[in-house]
Amino acid sequence: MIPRLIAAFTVFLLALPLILSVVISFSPGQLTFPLTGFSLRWYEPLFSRRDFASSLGVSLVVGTIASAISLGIGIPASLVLVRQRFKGREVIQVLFLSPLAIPAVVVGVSLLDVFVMVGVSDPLTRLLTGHVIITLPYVVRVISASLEGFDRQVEEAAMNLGADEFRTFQKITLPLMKSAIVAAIIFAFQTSFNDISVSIFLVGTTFTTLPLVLLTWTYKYFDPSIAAASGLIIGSITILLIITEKLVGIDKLMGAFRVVT
Amino acid sequence: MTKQNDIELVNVTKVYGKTVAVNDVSLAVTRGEFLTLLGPSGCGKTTALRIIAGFIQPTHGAIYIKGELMTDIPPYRRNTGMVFQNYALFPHMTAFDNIAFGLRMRRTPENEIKSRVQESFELIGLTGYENRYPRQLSGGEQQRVALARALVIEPSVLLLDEPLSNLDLKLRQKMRLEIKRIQEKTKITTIYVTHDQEEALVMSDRLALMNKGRIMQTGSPSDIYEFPRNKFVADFIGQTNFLAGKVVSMNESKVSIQLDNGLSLEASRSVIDHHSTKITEQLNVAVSIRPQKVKIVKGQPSKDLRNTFAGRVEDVEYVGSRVKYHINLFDGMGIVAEEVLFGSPNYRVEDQVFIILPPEDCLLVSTD
Repeated sequence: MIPRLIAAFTVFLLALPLILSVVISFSPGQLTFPLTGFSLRWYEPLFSRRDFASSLGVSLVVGTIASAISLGIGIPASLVLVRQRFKGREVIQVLFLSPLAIPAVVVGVSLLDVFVMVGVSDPLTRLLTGHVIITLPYVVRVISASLEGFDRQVEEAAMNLGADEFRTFQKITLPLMKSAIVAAIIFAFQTSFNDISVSIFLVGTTFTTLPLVLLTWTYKYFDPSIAAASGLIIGSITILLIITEKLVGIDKLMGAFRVVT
Repeated sequence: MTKQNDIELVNVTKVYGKTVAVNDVSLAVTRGEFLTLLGPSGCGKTTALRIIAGFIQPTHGAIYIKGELMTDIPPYRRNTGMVFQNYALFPHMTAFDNIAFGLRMRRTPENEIKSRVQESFELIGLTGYENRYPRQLSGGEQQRVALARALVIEPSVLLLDEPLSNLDLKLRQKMRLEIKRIQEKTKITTIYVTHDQEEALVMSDRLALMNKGRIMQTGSPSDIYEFPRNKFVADFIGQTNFLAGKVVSMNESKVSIQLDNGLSLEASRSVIDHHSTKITEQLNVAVSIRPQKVKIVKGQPSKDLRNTFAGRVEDVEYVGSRVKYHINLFDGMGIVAEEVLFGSPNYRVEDQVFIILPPEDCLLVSTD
């Protein structure tokens, strides 16, 4: 009984900021709590202020492409790092994980320096590069962790039964990595979508990400429209989770998180 | 000659850095034979098996499967069927799909797959379990699915790597009879690896005992048990007494040995010639005699019996159906005698007894 109460209370505490945001987004007036009424008026700016839609688009596109690139690099890299022995292996491992050790602001500034030196001014290229750099360590870490505990005998069994290296990878290795890949996608996309400290140095004047736009709203407007933006995102993710639960079952995906801890 | 042999290893050696895992091993397995590689951990038996399967490349030597040279052929083209120690079932596939896997890799038509896999389920006695996942099966059931998976592709040889070590005793005893039954029914050439000598003796047509990368002796279970050729084999299989000594003389009917403690012993010449390695005079040997062959009597034995010694019972081990007496011979040497029990033990600690070592049950192994 008591452990359940503690668990429920903890969940409540963790969800509190989210709940408060959603509640405030329905405020008829300014940022007050408790609510004086119920209104949808603050959802209107999400449509009228054009920077919301465009930056949301940028964040989604950059997040998706950067995650895809990180997976495309991270999965093969992890396979090699975990399964092969070669000189300098540990060095390369550390190299892949190094962006985690460097303050994000430093990563952002340094990248900007390099882009200026090399003459790359396109914000999409800059953003994608920066986001791949900060998401790749998560992909490598999650995939490597799952590969460490991988029972290679099932691969041997597949080869014994007639599957060559490619078919073994396709039919045995990859499906068994599924939950780790899901975890990697979630980590990568989340890191990219959330990012401020690196993106702030790499965006263009009109080509920018959602978190940065919301940041400007806090000093330009400072009204519940920010809460409405949060509410929209929280609502969308909630709907996604419900759909996922109905289609796949979150317990199956939760196996992914056991890999990471 | 090679046509009869489904598997041949010719001077196979595997070296890892400074360790020689498999040391110049040559072995032939005939069609339909059940051969067991038996030995302690680290003797090289699993390495040898994996070399046959193709997961390990030998440093020297050649492997032939059904007469074809296979040394450089990858595992997926050798047509061997392997059962792994921890079953290695594909966790994301049903039992049906696990067994069907090999057939699908060979692009067998689906309707043929369906009937052959169904037959497999009947063979292993698991009809109705087709849609279960490995995690929904018990250890013994997983074992049987792993076996069916290897057999359904009708491989040239069935390879089993200690498949029963993860099961409890009763299940192990049941499963080894199951495996043997299935093997006899399908008549498939089989190589079995284990460190459990009882398993090896029960299941095999032939045993190859390995130690430190070498084959110490091959033979049928009774051959190996009754007539071990060296100390390692005599010690590893069953229990034996070793009495160290030296050959003092030989004639056509007997071999005389003087034991290190001064006692004299006689062995039968014909037995020695037949089953031991070459014995010469002055050779340092150990007399090997199984506890079951040592006779104990209470009263002084008749004068015309050879190899009689006086002793005292130091310890009695009661094992239920049998009893082991640890006897101290008055000249310092210890011997273990075993008897089948039909009630309570005949002798107790501190009893004075006589033991008789029948000459025809004394084997000699060279200790040089």
